[in-house]
Amino acid sequence: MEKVTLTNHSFEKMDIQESKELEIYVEKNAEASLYIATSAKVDLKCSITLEENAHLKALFWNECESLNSECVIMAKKDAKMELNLGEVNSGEVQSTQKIYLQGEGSELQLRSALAVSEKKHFEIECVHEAPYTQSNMENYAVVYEKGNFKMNDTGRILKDAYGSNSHQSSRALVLSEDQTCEITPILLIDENDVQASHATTIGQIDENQLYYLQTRGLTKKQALGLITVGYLMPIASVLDDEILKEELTSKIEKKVGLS
Amino acid sequence: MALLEIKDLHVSIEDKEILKGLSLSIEENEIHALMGPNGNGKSTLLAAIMGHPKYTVTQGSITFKGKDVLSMSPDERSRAGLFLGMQYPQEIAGVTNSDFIRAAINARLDKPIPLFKFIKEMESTIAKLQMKPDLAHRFLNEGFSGGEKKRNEIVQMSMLKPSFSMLDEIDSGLDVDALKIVADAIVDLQKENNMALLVVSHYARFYQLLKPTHAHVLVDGKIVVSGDASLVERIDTEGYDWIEKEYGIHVNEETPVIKTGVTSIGSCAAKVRKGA
Repeated sequence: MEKVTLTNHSFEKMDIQESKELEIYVEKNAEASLYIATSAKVDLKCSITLEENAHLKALFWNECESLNSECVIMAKKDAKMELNLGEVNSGEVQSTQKIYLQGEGSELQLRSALAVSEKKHFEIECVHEAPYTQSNMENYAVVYEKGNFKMNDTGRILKDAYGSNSHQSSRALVLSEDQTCEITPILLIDENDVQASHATTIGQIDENQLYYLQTRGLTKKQALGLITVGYLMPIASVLDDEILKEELTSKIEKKVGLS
Repeated sequence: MALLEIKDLHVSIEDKEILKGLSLSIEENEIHALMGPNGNGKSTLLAAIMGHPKYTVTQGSITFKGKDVLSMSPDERSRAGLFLGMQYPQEIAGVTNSDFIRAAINARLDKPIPLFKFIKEMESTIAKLQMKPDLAHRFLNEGFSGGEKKRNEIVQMSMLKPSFSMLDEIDSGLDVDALKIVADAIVDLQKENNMALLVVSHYARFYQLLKPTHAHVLVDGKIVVSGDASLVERIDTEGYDWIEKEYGIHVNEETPVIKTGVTSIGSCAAKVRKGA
């Protein structure tokens, strides 16, 4: 078990290449950033606790051949968690993310940007345990070749968590005939005084859009790349780090065929 | 040899023949007005020249600078110097105008355009078309008004500097001031690059600004009358009836088409749009 404490203004970077259990604490009132890159074959168990009024921006960047990840996140009063999941690798993934908004006014912003060409299954659940908690989950996936993408995204609002908002949207762009893609948005609500929404789209590339870009001189491959890059690229700049941004940008461009 | 040479062109869409043996020759520096009642094949001609996958050329030839256009993909045609300003430009969320135009410019260069040079050029083009400076960073045509989309087509044309441009009702949706701005930009670009133009419009006003050197009337898949700019004036005042009488041809009435709208990513439900 590896324990990490994040203090105010800390920016922790971890490169994980073997199975590991991680326990991360973000101190009260601290504003911190966390970058976790995984590669090789990894079983990752991770728990993150955000103390009162803590604010954590985290990016999990996956380059594993196979990754099995279970992450539990607890946010205390007025804490804010920004959880970003990014990957353009061609490995297999089984990922479970559970976020508990335990303290009043705590918040989750989740964004995933996933290129899928093998089996990648995600279970994401945000549990609103306290009043006035907010969650917003946005998932973007581009499914290639024989990709098998499954996303179960759940927003759960418990009784007495009044004044809470739970929103989610999931979008998948499918680029092959052989893929499977399954997105299940779930809202479980036990309190009346709340707002919740979900949206899901799974679609193929629009032929007219492709033609339009081609008439301006872009090859079909470049045009496809440009359309798909819009799905994935925002994840590259979630952390305030220019070098990292450049590195991730070039990896994404390479994946979509733009470089 | 003409810049663009079309000979006996027959084009079908879904087994329905739209163009029935059309020939047209365009030289550098010439501005051709293409007129004709709706539903007679004007847009089809432009789309076929650009290589729209839905239009099948069943007979005839198109050459550009001596090269066989019909064997090229749309992107190859673009890189060879053809441009089509569309009647209904696509909206593409997630792709910014500047990323798109830069990629399109780089696609025709050996070495990428220096970023600074690109930004300068983009800024001055946006200013010339009197569009908002944030245009570069907005998603391609997303949420643009009809007029903004048309102006953005001309921004792209100005940046890509084609040697032959086709404009498909680029003036529709523009107000009087915007029409002048767009026409001025087209005329300047034409002069700078000796660009040839093939322009489809229903409005004499637009043609007055562009000053075409040639005019053609397309009826039932063929060019039935060709002349100079005076033809535009005559159609503006008299309509198309006289052509029917003088040349003994039947003018096609437009048949209503029901378009099944494309379900775009980003919308929750399928949209069905009727009509154009």
